[in-house]
Amino acid sequence: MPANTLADALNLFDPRRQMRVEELDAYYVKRPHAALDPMKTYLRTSNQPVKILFSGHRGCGKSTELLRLAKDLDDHFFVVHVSARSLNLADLNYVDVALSCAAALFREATSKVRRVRIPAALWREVLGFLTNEITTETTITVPQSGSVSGKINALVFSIEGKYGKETATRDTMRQRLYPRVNDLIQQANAVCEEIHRVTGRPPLIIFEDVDKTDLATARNLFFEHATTLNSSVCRIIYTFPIALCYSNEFTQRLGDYNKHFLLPNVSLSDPQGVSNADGHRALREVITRRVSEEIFDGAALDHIIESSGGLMRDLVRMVCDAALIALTDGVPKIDSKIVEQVAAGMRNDFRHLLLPGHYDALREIQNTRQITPNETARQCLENLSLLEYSNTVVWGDVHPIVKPLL
Amino acid sequence: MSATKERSLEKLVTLLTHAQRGAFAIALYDRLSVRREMVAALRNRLSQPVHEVHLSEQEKNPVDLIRALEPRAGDVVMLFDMERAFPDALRYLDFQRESLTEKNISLVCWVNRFEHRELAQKAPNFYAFRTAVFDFTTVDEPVVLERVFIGRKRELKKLTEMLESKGVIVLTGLGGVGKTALAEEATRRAGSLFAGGMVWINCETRPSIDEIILSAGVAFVGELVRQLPPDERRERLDDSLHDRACLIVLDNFEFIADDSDMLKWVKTISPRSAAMVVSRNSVPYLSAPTMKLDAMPSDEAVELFIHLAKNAGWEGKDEEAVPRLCEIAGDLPLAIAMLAPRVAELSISKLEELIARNIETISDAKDPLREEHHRSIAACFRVSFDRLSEDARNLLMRLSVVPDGVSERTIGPLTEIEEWHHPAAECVRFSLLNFDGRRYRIHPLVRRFALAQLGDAMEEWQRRFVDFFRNLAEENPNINDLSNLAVLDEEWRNVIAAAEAAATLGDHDLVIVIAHYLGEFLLLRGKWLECEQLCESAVDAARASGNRKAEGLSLSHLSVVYTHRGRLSDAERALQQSISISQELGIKQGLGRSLINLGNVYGQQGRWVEAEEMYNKDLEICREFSDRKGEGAALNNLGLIHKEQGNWARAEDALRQSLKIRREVGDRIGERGTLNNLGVFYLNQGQWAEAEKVFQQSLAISREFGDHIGEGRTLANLALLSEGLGDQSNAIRFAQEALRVLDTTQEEKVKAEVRELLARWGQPSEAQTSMK
Repeated sequence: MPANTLADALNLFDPRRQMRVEELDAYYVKRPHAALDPMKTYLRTSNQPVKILFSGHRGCGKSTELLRLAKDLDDHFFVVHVSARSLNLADLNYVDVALSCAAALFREATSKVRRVRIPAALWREVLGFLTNEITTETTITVPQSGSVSGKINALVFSIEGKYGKETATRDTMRQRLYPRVNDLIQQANAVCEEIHRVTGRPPLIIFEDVDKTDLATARNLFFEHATTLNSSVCRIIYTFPIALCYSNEFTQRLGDYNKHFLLPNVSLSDPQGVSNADGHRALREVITRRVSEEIFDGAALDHIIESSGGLMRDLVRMVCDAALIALTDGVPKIDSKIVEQVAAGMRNDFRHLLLPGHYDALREIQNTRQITPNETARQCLENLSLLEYSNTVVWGDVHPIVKPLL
Repeated sequence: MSATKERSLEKLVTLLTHAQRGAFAIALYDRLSVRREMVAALRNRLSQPVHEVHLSEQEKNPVDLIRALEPRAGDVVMLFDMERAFPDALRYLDFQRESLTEKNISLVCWVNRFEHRELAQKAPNFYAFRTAVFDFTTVDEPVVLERVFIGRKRELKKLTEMLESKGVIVLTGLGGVGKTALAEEATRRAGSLFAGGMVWINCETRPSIDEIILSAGVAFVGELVRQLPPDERRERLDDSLHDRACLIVLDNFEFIADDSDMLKWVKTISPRSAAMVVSRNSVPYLSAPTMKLDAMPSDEAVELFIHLAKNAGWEGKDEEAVPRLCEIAGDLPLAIAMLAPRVAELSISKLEELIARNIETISDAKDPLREEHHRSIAACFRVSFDRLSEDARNLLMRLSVVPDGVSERTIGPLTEIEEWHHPAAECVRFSLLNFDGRRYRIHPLVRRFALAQLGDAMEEWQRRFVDFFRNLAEENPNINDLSNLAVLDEEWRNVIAAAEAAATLGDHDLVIVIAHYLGEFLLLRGKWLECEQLCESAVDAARASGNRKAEGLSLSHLSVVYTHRGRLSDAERALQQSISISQELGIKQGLGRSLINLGNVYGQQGRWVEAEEMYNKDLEICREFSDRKGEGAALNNLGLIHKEQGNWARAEDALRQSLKIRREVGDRIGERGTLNNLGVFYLNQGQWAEAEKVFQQSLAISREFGDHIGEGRTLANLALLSEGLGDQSNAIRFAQEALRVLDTTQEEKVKAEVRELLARWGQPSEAQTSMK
């Protein structure tokens, strides 16, 4: 039952909140032209330990789609979630990724909830490797009592907790990991194969938030260390910065990975400007599954949808800010005047992001609907003034909020 | 409160009240006072706990700081001063946004324009989590005068006239010198000239050119411009500036002075309107009329201090010490504004003591109206200092050891920076160094600040400073050499400061050496007080180091100052000690110098016989050691004694011998004295023509060597000569001229005599007026 007060709208449309798995049934809306179905099909049908790059605009809904994908594929795969947020994003490197994947795999396989019965001999080998080769000379310790899988579980929690936060621990472990990263991957691969054998489901690691590092770090990781990132026998989905897709290097290095999927924004029209009813319907549903249409007056809801450009987080923020203004003004409904205030505020925010060269580039894209791979386009994609869509073809357009500035 | 701010406040309160799981809000401000006002208003209106987190150079991780507060879900955390922790703070926020979200707190980031732009561009993940930006900027509000305006009449008149001429004008000067206050007052007075309106933009928040054009556009064209594309917005603004007289004030322009687009735009502002650029840096690119503001005149600084102190509850205790405190503050209005209210709580002497220890004392962190860079004098200077190139910073720091500035001749060797021209020009451009066409000088407080920046290298550079000026004094010892005199005239204050620094460093020998070389110069220039202090330091140094010979010599020098100042018993005591040391050590020449000085003391006391005895003994010693210069001096003094005793023939003979010897050895200063004494002799004899001839010769030498005391004495004698000739008007003219010349010295005895003469002739003493 959708909420029907402005205060509820304010809280339900929080731009900071990711959808939780228990909310999927209530709030998840299938997007037209989304990459989810082809990606699911690809994963189901491939026998190989594929490595997938998954990109999309900041705030376009990647996490929600991956949450949905994990739920839908739960019967086929032993899904493990990893987030680069638990690492130090400022200087993320390939050994961090390898360690995080292995640690997450060990953690899930030893968790009491999942109860994967892996032979103790393998766990003893893993435990010996971790304690003797990786965590020695650090403050990380192993519990004295308990089962070997319990000890690994505790050890992994400790590693995950301290590696991201304690610089000294991270530095020490990295020095030990550099010459041993292949051994670590081998240990993880052995566990991976055992999970597959015991559960009948091959592990699928969803590695999120790598796209939130700065571009230089991401470039180094994905382009310079593709071999390490591909060494695992697990299937892995890496989120990948959309801005890196607009580099010549990307075309050359794409072959290092099995597949790249793009999550486009929800297109509200085609490149020729013909309105896309499916896109409008999907975004309307995103809103009305949470709040009743009754809190919107006249065309305000459509106005929000149009102004969002199909970018999910902007849609969420606009409803939130509109509800806030309506509450502040003491009016019962969100009307178009309020939406225009919200849009004007966001337009002001873009003024802080746009540099002098951006305006000309955006004008050109507005005319051609084509994104030429260059530094300016990359910056505009990064600051979200330029949005990418995919109906039947991939095309680009200026964020509707920005258009009056051109 | 303006409608915009009121609305933003309402909206923020609504968000913080209704967001059950918290929110991220960006609060944009451009005046610290407004930020404080809004934070106070929020605290009043919110029922949940409000925490404050202030970032700094030491505390850069907002996430850790917030975590340490242990806020509960629903609490509000205000985050301030992000720029101080750039760029690290941005990274922490960007990468750890989820950990803040998970706390279910509301985070309000108070940012200025620059911080906002950096946050949006360099912490995009965090910025994407914002609910909205709440605008508390004040651009469309009129300037509210927040301070008292005292003095500066001349500068105000000039600046107002510059504004009346329209076009671009620049007001520049050291941080804290009062540029903004003067600009505010001038714009208030000239406001009626600008029918199109006025906008005041504080560039401290580093607005972009688009933001400035937007602000000015809103002020002069209206809200409509917000919705226009940038190019069109600029066109509309330019039209307005052309159609009607408008005034744009760009305060703290130094923060954006590197923005070439901005400079180009300012240059194109229509001459029908005016743009006042208020900047610490000069802005040569603009080729605009520029007014450089200096520290306040002392009397205005004192007036400002007393006004502010009384407003703070001071009852006027120790008012006579206020000028001294203002002098320590370099008559800098910001420093005065920070210090004055504190005398209501602390005695002036205590305050002086605190400032002497640390200039950080000059601060006022509590005043909510102060902008960040005006909350302490050190913070104020740091804004400029941090913008200097490394070469310029090094130059300024090294110059900071020199209290009285440097000439072009000394700046290179002293700082050991061969290519000093560009760094020096840069320091001048940033108003941290003044150049008056001859010397580079640093404001006393800037000097204290720059000195502190030397850190561990401070002692090393103080030592170099001391050595440099010791060598300078040693290389220019001859007061009869005009080139030596020119150097000492420029640098004597630094040489004295070097002696003081040497005393602090415990280098006794150096104090003695400097006193030895500089003493004669100070006596020639009538710098009695400085000479007395230097000689006393030399006596102390000699005693501390057990150097008896130097002690005797320094005591003898000291006696000369005492004699000039009329402290005859002190002089006699010093000389007795000096004579005793010379006798003990068997130094005959030293003994001779003390004897002649003792003769002078006796002469002043009218003890002619004893004086003659001393001079004769000295003469004997000088002849024994072939000290011709000393012989000339002894004969001169003997001549005076004979004259006083009525032995005219012996007097003339001694004086003529003295003159001959002094001319022979090139003792020009001595020659001047003997010529003057001969003139007095002829005057007493009624030989008017001879008297006038030698007085004129004496006068010429005095003027050549800048010997004001000698010149004053001779002019006074010429006044007496004119009286003798019955030409009273000429006598009055000479006497008045004598007073004017003597007023530049510390010589009081001759001045008193001249005043007596003028009084006798029924003339008001101009000296008394000038003495005031």
